[in-house]
Amino acid sequence: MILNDLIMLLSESARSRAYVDLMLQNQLIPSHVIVVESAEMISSPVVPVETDLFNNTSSVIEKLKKVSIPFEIVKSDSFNSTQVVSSLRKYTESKVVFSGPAGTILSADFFAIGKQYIHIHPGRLPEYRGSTPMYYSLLLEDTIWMTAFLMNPNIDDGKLLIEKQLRPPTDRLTIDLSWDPYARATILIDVLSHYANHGELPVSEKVDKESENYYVIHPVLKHIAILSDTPT
Amino acid sequence: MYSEHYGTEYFRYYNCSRDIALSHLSPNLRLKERSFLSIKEQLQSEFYNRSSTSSLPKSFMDIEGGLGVIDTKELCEKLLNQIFYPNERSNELLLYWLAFYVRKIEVGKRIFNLYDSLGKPKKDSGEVGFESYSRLSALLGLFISEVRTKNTKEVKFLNALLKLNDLLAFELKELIQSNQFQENGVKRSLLAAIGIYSEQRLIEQLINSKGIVNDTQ
Repeated sequence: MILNDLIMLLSESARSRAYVDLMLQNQLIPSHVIVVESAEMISSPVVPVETDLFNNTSSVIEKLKKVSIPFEIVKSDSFNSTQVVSSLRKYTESKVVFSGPAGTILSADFFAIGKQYIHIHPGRLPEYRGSTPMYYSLLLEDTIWMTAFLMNPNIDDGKLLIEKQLRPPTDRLTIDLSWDPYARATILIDVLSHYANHGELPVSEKVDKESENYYVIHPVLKHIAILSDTPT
Repeated sequence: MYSEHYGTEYFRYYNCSRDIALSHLSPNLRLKERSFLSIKEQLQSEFYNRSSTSSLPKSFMDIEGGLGVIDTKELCEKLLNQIFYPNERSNELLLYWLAFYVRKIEVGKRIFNLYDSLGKPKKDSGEVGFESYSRLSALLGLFISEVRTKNTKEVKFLNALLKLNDLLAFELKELIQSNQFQENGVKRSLLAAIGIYSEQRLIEQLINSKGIVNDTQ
């Protein structure tokens, strides 16, 4: 099914490859894709690891070409450049699946062009805002949560769509490079399937909770979260 | 972008780096050979042996008659006094001010001597020195280890403590190499030792509670 009001805004990454792979598998096709080749991605490339979860070795562009999904490549110094905003503005679609470089915070300009940005956060919101929340929830609750939400100019803030608790992978060393991208993609599929079936995005009925910001986890705590064998 | 994984061997490296830092702190105090409790008792008996007469500010605007300037050293001394005298302690205020400094450590990576009423650093006041970083380390370590209210946000604070002690260990190495580290820094050595010891104990407890077999100790 072609989702006529949906566009994707991506950079080349495991997460983007998982998103496109699972969307194609589930026949949820975006009307267009913008692939941003920004300096921050080129300067710190991550070598794709092979995984059984999704095809992580062929690039986003290879995947799109294979099934003839229209795409545009935007070369830019930064994901947050006016060039990217201008490219996005040209499209009439109102919903944008966002998968930018890790840690990218979209500038206010993106929110001034009348689009809704769907993002999957690897933690419960608002309880686990910020960076590397999956390792904190592993330490605190021995579990991992994912939340789909519509971004607003504040960090990890916005209308919640779906929240889901997931069983951590048996091999926690796979979290960063393959499991997390795959897990986020499965939540995206839940969101887009709902959208395809009902013509509107799902709405979470979660009651307000106290928000908490978490900062990049220290390697010692990350090692503990990965090596923990507490049953889940 | 993603940190490397070294398995349990990483804990050996981590403990080793902390032990080296402890051994460099005022060798006369023989900190590495002493218990956490004896170091804490010495710190309290020599430097925090009476309860403070002044109370903790409730917010930025409660400082210096509403001028709202935070003096890091002065405030942290008051916070430490509260840790040592539980009867006069306000856990809520300790949490409030420590959360402020945790955010500064995590986001700004540096602590300044003065902050304005909006919590922004007065950069011309300069970055704090080894003693104030040690004071903050001791504060966080003691707070997580001993206060433990249900709102302690322990893991968040422990994360900041690890980063703070990385900085202390690095700074200590630099100070020793440049011959700036004086033998008479008893207070700062005890403070740093409390911060590092607390952190090592907390990490060991966490490793054990998570069922990790750590054969590198």
